[in-house]
Amino acid sequence: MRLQAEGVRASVRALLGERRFDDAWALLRPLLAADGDRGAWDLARTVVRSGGSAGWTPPAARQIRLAILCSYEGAELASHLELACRALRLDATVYAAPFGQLEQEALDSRSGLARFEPTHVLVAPTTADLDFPELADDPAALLEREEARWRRLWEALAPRRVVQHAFVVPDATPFGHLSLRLPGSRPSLVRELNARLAAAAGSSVLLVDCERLASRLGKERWLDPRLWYAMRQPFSYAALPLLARETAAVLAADVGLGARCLVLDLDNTLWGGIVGEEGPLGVTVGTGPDGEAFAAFQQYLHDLTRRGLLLAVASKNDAAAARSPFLENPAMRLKLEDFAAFVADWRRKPEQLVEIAKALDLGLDSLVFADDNPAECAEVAAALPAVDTLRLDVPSSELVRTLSASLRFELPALTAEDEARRSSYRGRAAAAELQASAASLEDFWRSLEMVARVRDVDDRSLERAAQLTQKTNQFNLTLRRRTLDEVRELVSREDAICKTLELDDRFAQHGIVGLVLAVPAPDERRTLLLDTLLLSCRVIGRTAETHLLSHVSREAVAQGYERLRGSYVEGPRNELVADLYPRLGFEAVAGDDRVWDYDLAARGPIESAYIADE
Amino acid sequence: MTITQDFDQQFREVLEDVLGFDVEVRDEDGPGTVEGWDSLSHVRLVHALETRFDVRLPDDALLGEQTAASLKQLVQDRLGGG
Repeated sequence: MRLQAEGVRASVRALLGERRFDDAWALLRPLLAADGDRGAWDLARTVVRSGGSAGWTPPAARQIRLAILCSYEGAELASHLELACRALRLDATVYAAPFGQLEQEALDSRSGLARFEPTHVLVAPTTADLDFPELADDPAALLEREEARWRRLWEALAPRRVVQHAFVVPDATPFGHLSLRLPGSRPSLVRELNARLAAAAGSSVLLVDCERLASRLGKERWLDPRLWYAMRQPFSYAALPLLARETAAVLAADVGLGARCLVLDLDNTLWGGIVGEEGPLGVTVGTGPDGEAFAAFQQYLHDLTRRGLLLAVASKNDAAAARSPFLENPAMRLKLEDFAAFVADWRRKPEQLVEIAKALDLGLDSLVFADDNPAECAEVAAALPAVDTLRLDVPSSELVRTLSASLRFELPALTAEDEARRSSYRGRAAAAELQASAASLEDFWRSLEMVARVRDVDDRSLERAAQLTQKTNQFNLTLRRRTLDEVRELVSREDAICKTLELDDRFAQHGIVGLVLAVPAPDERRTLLLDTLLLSCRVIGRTAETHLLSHVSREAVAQGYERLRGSYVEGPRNELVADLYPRLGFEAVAGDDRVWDYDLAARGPIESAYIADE
Repeated sequence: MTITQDFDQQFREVLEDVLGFDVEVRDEDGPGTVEGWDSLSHVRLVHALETRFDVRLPDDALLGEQTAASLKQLVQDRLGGG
């Protein structure tokens, strides 16, 4: 692994000499995201430092302010974490609190943390901080005390988003294998505490499963006692990049940078061999060592779809041949309906990917492309820098592990809508075909037989509402990103009108796909301010916004409001709603073309013609 | 590994990787005398040297009283004694 960085080293050095920071960073970014290779981290740090003094920073898609509360000297973790976040296109401004000051920093309103005003706080203790003896007489009391300690800390840090490093189960115990059967043994206590914290975390605190990471690396390599004694920093230089990468992945997913769609090659990626030469039954899948490994990989991919990830195919193949194994080979675990998009023709892969992104209405940065051919990956990386590529030129037995090490597939929470989304995207593709044959847009809308449920935001929909504010980039008027706690606070206001829209059509149930958060304008009591108005990209172009606003405007009239006021905040991808308000009958407020009023008194509530209420 | 002219070159490369390509390091420099060479990067430097030359330096190499020359000597001792 070290050699890989050394090959890159000369190139990076030359590029820095020419001040080509973007190119140097592009070489190092994949190495930071991959396992091992500590040399890459030193080089990346050098690139960021040299670039910084020339006014350059690595490209980022989101920004957070991250405070780190460590029980140990956290400077090295902070340094790795900044780079790891950058590698995932997350610009994290980091404040590392003085170590061992967890409660003080969290509770004191004048602490460095409070003054820093973080959006996210990483709580990073180690197992050494737990007040657990090797064998406890009263395990229940100890567990209760520790659980309470961490929960108090979380509460003190709210409403900032808390990310907590969960605890690593110690690998040395005086009780040996017996410790597994002793509820009071230290390993048992740590396991139980992790389980309790996970239950308590709910959806408001994010946990990093350090036990899994330490096991993956090997616990003997996780800590480095020499570094602990010399600098009060416990992790080995093998563990630091891993811990930083995985923590960064959790943070990136939390702010909506997780991948939404994995685009796969076919030949020698999903099966062994070339289907065009060997035929649908001749490709290697199902039996034999290679075939079993490909089948297991397909099963893993299928399981990924169960948590809301979309799959797509981009294959240089004859269209019919590419589909034939899915239709004819009974050993295939993946079926055609597992794919939200399927492109098989003879165009270059970047063109195929652009088409897939367009068909699914996703940004290119929501795609990850996986191929066994390094040349194809390189071509995509060069042509479409927003698309992350995953090289699968590994033995078939390593496919699952290679994919599972990718950092782009973290998800902050599993919601029912994630499950519904998959069938919805397929429904969308079918609806798109219908659109082509319908005579007019109005006919199309009627033919969809849309039924909506517009409901006040409540405990069941809070999480989805917050997720929508985080993830929605296109049909989003104000682009205000909100955490779960922020939405909860807004919704609990007496005078707020907060509604979700759930939509079904004859093809699919789309789940909760629309959100309005509205509050009275601070200076004009009879004006209702549309603080947030957004739709998931799945249901754009179907009058769902009209339907949502019809409910809001009716309720506004009933409460005595005279006008609705909306504003448009321009972002990189929401120009499609720049003219939404005039289309809905809003008029520009004099002297400000970004603020729009709808006169409820004169025009009455907004009408929705194509969507029925359930 | 034998100690050759190559060694000086490799040693300098490790210094550059950790401290930056644009940093001039003299033999007598150490933590605190060069920009970017602080206690944190010193530990990184020791670790990078150990990885590059596949040696284990004594624990007190991590402490701040080293210079470029003394670190080089420590590595050479380990390689020579190997």
